[in-house]
Amino acid sequence: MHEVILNTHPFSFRIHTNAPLVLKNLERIYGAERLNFSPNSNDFAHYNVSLVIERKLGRLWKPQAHFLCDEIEPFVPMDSDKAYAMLEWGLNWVVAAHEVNHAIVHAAVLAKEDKAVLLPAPPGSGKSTTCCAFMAHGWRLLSDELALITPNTLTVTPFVRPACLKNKSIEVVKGWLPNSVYSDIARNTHKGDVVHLSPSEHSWKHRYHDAVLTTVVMPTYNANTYCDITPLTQRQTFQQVFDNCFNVGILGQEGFSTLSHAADNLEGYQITFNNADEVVAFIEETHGFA
Amino acid sequence: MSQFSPQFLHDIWHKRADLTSLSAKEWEDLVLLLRSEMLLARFAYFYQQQSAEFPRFVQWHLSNARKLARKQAKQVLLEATLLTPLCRAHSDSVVFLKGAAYTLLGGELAQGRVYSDIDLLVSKAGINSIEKDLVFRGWISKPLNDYDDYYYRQWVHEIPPLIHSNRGTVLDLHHNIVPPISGKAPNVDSLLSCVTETDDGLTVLSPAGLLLHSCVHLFFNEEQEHGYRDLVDIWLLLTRYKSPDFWQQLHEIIEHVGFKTEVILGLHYTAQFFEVDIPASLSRHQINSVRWSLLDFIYKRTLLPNHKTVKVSAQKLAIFMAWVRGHWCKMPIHILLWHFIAKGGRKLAEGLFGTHIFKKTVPQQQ
Amino acid sequence: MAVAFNLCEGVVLHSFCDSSGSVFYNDTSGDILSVPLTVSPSEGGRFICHNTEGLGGKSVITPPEAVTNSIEQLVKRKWITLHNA
Repeated sequence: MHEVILNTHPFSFRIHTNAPLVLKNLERIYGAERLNFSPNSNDFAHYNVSLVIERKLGRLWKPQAHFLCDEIEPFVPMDSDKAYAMLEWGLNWVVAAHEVNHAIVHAAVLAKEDKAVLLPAPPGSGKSTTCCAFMAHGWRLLSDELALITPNTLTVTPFVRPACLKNKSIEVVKGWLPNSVYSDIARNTHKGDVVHLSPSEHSWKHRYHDAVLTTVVMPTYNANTYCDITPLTQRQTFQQVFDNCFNVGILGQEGFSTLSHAADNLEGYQITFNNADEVVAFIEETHGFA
Repeated sequence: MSQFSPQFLHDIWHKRADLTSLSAKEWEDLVLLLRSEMLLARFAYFYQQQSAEFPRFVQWHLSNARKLARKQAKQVLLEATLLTPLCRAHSDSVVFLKGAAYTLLGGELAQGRVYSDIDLLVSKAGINSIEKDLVFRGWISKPLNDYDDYYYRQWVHEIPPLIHSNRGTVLDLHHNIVPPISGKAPNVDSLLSCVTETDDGLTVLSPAGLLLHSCVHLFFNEEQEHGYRDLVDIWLLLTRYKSPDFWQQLHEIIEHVGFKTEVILGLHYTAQFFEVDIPASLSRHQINSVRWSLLDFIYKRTLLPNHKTVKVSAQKLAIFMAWVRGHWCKMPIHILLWHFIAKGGRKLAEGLFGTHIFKKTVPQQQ
Repeated sequence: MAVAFNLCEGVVLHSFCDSSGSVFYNDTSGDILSVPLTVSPSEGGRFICHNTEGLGGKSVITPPEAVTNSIEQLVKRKWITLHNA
């Protein structure tokens, strides 16, 4: 069993794993400089997780991957070839399940010149593809899944980790970002074929820099619509963000005031599109970026 | 994993443990241990003043723990306020037990106390009507595997835990503190006379009643999951409420309800770990020495955290024996054997194949 | 049409600057109710909600049925109490 500390910001993870696939992809996606393969007693991690591949009686020909955090196994096990993807999902679960010092919204966040765009989105909306389009235009990724908002502010803390791409979007994004780093593909997961993309160098470089939210975009991919933009009222924006906020219930009034403050101060748009470049172009125009 | 001695753990609650000399890894493991024992929030409140000197990542976890505990305490008050009138329609007595009771009593006993279920004692005659009313209001049966569901309804004569479909709160309704089928279920009326009202007008067992119930829960149960935490509770109960009146009441309850051995056990280990004085009439010398040596073998091990960071010799064996004893206490032997076989077989299967093969719903990933 | 009300204990409200409406939040249950009403504070801790014409430089009118409907929902949940003044 290997033990490695993954030093992401603002949380670090002590990962125990016996899966070479996991170690290989961790190194490829995060780079050796963010991994501590021989932790000593002066090193700590915020969270302790395991990704273990086991053969259990009855499934001798099919080893299974298990994700555990503090001895709790929140997911049904998966085939071992999906071990790395499972770890990434597991890390998202850990943060969503434990963190209450930020308001956490299920959304992607990208920024240019420290002005940030929030993309809350249910699966299948094209969020991750849109994310990559922004990166291709020089925006930095703060997060693909978990927006960490400091309560009662518009400040987002980056939590730079790979973006999860599914099915058709994999080829599309590889076309835009051919020189980026991709993980091994995990085929036939419950989300389809899945690949993780390491964010741009620019994203990694600014991983400690907070950004300030200015806009909320609800993307919906539709093959038949080029780019249809509808402005949202503040009340609609509030509802969208609230529906996607994991921990507003626990934060109570602080969560409510954070989200209402956000709705008051952010521009909101619903964008139906089949061309992600247009989404980026529109946002850049409204912000006065060339 | 770091290793902590049991004495170090006890010293934490006495504020004698040398926390400043812990390495980063040791702090990390201590947080894991406390969280696993459901004591992290308690620790966070105990050390609220001093925590500014702890490493930042530890302060972060303590802050999370305090927020979660505060939210849970609020939730309990809401639920208790909603449940009391609903249950009163079918039962004269509506008494909160265990963790929920501690929260409702407030003070240090309440701060940081977290738990998974709300335990509520109502009359046997009213329990089924209450269940129906609750289901009508959005409470549903917590999914159990078929065997456990059958066990609850047939043998334990309690209803399985209910979970609120919207709020996610879990409610455990009881009509006694021990399954009647054991033949040891006390006359509930005498227990119900030991109640007290909180500042919010809700009913909880009196402190002496809570102590007795905690001891019964600890030593009569087949699984001792949070034994250490339960002893911390007993310690805090004693710290706040002990007085000649309290001991008098405790003696009276034992007279009417029984479970003297369980109370002696609870008090003995609380005294051992946390240095409190207990009256001679309830000391462990009241128990025959042969019996005592077996009980002590089991419990001095199983009451310590069952966690990789705390090394306790022969703990696995002791845990198994406690489990057997717990079963033994609860049921007549022919039923025990059946339960043991069915449940034991189930556990074996779960151990080999994983518990999730019995999950009825697949957890959703984000 | 103006309607005056008090908030019940544990309920807070937020009215959006663009007059698109308000959100009521119950701190005890964690539930929200989003309504097409604009609310402004008045004396004595009361609130007035009205159709939004002319407020905030925008002329958005909330149909009377929407106002009544929303108020009814809030009263039913016991999140507000009305004033007959």
